[in-house]
Amino acid sequence: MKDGLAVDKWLLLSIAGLLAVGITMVLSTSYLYSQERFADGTYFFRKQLIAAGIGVAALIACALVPSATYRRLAYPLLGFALLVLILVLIPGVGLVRGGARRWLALPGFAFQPAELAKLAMVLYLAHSMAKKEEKIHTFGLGVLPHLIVGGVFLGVLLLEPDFGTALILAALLYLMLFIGGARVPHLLATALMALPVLIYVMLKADYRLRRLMTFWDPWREAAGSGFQVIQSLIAFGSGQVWGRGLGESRQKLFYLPEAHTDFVYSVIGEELGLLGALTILGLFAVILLRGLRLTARIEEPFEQYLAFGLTVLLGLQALIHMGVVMGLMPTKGLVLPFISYGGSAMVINLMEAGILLGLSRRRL
Amino acid sequence: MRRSYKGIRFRLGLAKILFIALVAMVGGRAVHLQIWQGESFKRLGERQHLKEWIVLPKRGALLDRAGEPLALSLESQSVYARPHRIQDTEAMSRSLAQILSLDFAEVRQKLQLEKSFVWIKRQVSPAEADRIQALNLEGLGMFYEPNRYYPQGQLAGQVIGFVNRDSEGLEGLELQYNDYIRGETGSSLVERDALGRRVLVQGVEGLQIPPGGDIHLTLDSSIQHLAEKELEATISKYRAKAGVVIVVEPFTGEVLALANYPAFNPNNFSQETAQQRRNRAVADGFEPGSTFKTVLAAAALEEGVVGKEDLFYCEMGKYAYAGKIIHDTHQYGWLPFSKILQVSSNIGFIKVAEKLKKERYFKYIEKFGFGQMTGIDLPGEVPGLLRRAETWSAVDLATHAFGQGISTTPMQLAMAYAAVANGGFLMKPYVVRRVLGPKGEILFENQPHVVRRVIERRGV
Repeated sequence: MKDGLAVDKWLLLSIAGLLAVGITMVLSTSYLYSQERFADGTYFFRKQLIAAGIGVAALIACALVPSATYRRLAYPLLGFALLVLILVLIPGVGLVRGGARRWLALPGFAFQPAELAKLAMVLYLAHSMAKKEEKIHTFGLGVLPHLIVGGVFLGVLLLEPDFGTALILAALLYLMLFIGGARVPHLLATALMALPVLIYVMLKADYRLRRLMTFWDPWREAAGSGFQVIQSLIAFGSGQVWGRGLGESRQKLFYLPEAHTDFVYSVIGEELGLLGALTILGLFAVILLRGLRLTARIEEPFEQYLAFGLTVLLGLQALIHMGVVMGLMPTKGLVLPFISYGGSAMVINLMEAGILLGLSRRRL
Repeated sequence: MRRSYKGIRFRLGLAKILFIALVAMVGGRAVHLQIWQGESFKRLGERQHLKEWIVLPKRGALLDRAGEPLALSLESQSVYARPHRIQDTEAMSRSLAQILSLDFAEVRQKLQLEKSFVWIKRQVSPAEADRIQALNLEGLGMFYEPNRYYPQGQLAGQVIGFVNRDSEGLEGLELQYNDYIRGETGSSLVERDALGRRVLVQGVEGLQIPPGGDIHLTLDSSIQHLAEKELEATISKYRAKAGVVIVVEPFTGEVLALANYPAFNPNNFSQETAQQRRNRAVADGFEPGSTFKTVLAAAALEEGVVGKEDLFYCEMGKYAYAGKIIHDTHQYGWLPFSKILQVSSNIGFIKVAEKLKKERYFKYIEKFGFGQMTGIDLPGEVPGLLRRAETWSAVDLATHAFGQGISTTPMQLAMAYAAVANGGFLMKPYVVRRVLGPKGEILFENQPHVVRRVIERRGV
C-alpha cells in the first residue's frame, strides 16, 4: 500500500518495448505501400501514431478504473459489441475490404467491431463465471449459457467472415471455462459436437479449404494461395541471424501481401533477423508468464478470470499471428498486438493491457 | 478469503505449460527457418528480387568509302506511363495522342490499365521527346534506348541488313560483322519489387560500356545510287520482277555498288517483305544465258583452239545438232571468231565448244569460280549449281556453250568478268575495307586476295 500506482514493471516494459518496435515497423513496412497508394509514405505511420497516442491514454485510464466498474460494464459492453457486429454485416454500413465485411465507417476512421468483441467477451465471461461460483461444475447452468453466448458471437463473426477472430474467441471461451472450473468431459463433449459445424464452415467457404490445403503443401500453389506463405518463409530465411537491417526488407516490396498488418512478423524476421524475431516472441512470452503469475496471485474470482482472459487474449493473438506467418498454421489474417498497423486493434489492445496493469497494482 | 474451487492452481499450471510449449514451438520454428533453411529461402528470394539489367552498348556505324554514313546508332527515348499515378487520364491521353500522333482512344485505354507500367511509344523523335519533357506530368517518363537509323534509307539496303530491338544484327553486314560493331553489353544486378519494377540499380552509372567499331565499306554511295536508279529504270522498262547490278573494282575485288531490286529500306524492316530483304546478288542462282559466252570465249582463246580471226560457218541461223535444231536471232554465214563474240551467235559458240571439248570447257568454268562461293563477306551466299562434264551429253555441251543448264550467282558472274579485265586474276570480292575501333585502331581489314590465275596467255 506504499504506492498504489505501482504496476508490474515487467509487463509494462514488455508492452512499451513492443509498442516502440511496432511503431518503427509500421513505418518500415507501410512506407512504400503508402507511397504507392496515397503518394505519401508516412500516411499509415501518422495514423498509427495517433492511434498509439489515444491507446496509451486509454491504457492509463483503464489501469486507474476500479475493477467493479468493469464488472458493471460487462453486460452493456457485450450487448453493444453484438450490436455493432451485426451492424457491420448490413451492406452500406459495413465496409468491405479484401472480400470481408469487417469495418464500420465512422467519421475520420474505420472501426473494427471484432476487436471490441474480444474484450467484451473476456469481461462477460469473467463476470458470469465469477457470479456462478460452484454452479460452473454443472453443464446446464455453468457451461451451456457461456457456450450459447459464445456461439452467437462466433456465428456473427463467421458471417463477416472473420475466421481468425472466431478462432481466437473459441479458444478464449474454452480456456476460460477450463480455468473457471468447468468439468473436462463437458468441455470435450461440446468441442466434439462443434466439430461437424467447423467442418461444414470449412467446406462451405472453399477459400478456407484451399488455405488448409496449401498449408499442407504450399508449393503446390506457389502462384496462388500458397504464394503468401512462401513469400513469408522467404522473408524469414533471408533475415537469417542478424537480419538485413531495419528498412532493408525486400519482401515488403509487394511480394508479401499486407506486410504492415497480417505479415508484419515476417518483415521483422527479415529486417531484424532471428534475434529480432526471438526478441518479439520473448516480449510476448514475458506478458504471458507475468499475466499467468498475476492470475495465480489474485484471490478475487472476477479479477482472477479477467486477468487470465486478458493474458490469454494478448498472448494467443500473438502466437497465432506468428504461427501463421511461419507456416505452422493455415493463413488467417490476424494482426500482431501492439505491432501491426490498425487503429481499432491498437487502441483496444492497449486498453486490455491497461486493465491487466491495473489488476497488477498492489499485487506485486 | 473464499476460494470457490481448489484445482485452479493445477489448471493454471497446465495452461502455463501449454503456453510455454507454444512459445517454444514458435521459437523453434524461427530457428529452423532462419538458420537451418535460411540459405535456401534466401536464395529463393534472390531469384525473385535480383534481375540482370542489360545496358546495351552503342553500336558502331556503317560508312561508305567516302565516309558517308549508311547506318548510325542514335540514343532515342521511349515514353512510358505509370497509370496508377496519373491524376487526369483524359487530359493526359489527349496531350499524348496529340504530341506523339497516336490514337486518343488507344492511349486512354492504355492509361486506364490496372498496371503500374505501360509503354506509350517506343523510340520517339527528339522533337517529340522535348515536348513530352515539357509536359512534366506525374506518372509519365522516358527511358533511353539505342535505336538504329539508316540515313540513306533504302540505299544498299540488302547489303547493310538490319538489327533487332536488342541491337543484334539479323541480316546483311549488320549480321556478318555483328561481333565487331555491337560493342560489349554491360550488365548490372538490379533489385526489383513484386511488380517487376526496378528498385535499386547499383553501379550502372559507373558501368564502362565499350562501343562497337565502325565499318568502312568499299561501296561508293554515288555509284550505288546511280546503279539503283538505272536498275529500277531497266526493271520497269522490261517489266521484270527482280534484278541485280554489281559494280566491282576488277584489280582488287572491292565492290563499289551492289544494287538489288525490289528495294529494301532497313528503317522499317518489319514491314518489308522477304523478297525485298533478299540479297539476290549472292543468295540466288540463275541461268546466266549469253552472258556466260565470255567464259567459253576466254577458255577457247587461252587453250589456243581458236584464234581471233578463225572463221566459223553459222549455218544461216538454223543448225541441226545432236537431234535438235539450234537457232540464231539473225541469219549469219561465215563469221570470224571476234565477230561471233560480238553478235553472240549461239551456233558459232556451239562450234567453238565442240573444238574445245567438254572436259576442257568444264575445267575453265570451275577455274572461273562457278560452282563455288566467291567468299564475299556477306551472309547467305550460295555456290550455284554445276553438272560435272562426265555427265554432259552432246546437247548439254551445246546448251552450256550459251549459258544454259547451269546456275550461277550474279556475284560469280561479275567476278569472272572482273578476272578477264584483271589479266586473268580471279579476285575474292569484299564490301568491307576495314573496321575501326573507338580509338581508331584497326580491328579488322580486308586485303585484295587473288583466288587463282584463271588465264594467262592468249585468253587475256
